[in-house]
Amino acid sequence: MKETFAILNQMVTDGAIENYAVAGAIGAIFYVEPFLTQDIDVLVVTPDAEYRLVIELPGWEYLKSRGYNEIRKEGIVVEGWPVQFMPVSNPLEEDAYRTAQTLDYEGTPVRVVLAEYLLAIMLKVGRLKDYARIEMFVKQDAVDYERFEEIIARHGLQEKWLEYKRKFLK
Amino acid sequence: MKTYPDVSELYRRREAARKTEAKRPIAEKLAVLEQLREIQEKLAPLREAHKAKVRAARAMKKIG
Repeated sequence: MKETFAILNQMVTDGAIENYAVAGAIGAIFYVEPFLTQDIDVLVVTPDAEYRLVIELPGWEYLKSRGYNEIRKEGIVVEGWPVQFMPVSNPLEEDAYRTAQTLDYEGTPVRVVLAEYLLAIMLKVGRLKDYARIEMFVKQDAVDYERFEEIIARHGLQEKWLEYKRKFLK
Repeated sequence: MKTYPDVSELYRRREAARKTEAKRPIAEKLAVLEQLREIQEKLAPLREAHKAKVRAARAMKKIG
């Protein structure tokens, strides 16, 4: 995985993508215990608002020219890990992308979405597995609630959070 | 107002792919778990540092 992150960093250095922010289950395991996953979700900004398939995403040509041409589960396999480039598709994801923090993974810098944004995205998506993951963040004391409350207020998720608390955090 | 790409088709394809992945042999799934366990161990100090930061921020707010 370290090698995968190194390639993402190289893509930024070479201008293939503006930047990236690791989200999804792999982003979450920087803060809480892991979930079963086999792909790395990476938020990226696309140059325009057109719909994009994986082969049209920024970075695809760059990776293909370097021999990374296997597609698995809609992701491009980079050093053994399918990387899913997810275009930011709403203001919440854009904020999550812009405010991501750089963490160190075995000496390799990795840009990771803040825990509170991961939580807000899970709340917004709202599948059963997202709710289970939210519980892990809450139970494992991995959330700065002041920051989280600011985020959900800004993105209109307060009602959803109250509903979640009513259902699951009694 | 800013427009964003419609990623619904991408998400639909991902969900479909997950169903296929769920049918993979148990040995392959266990191999993934093993990989994740290694990553979990490597990330343990980072996770602890994050939790300590959250706890410290909370304590400071209580004092303040």
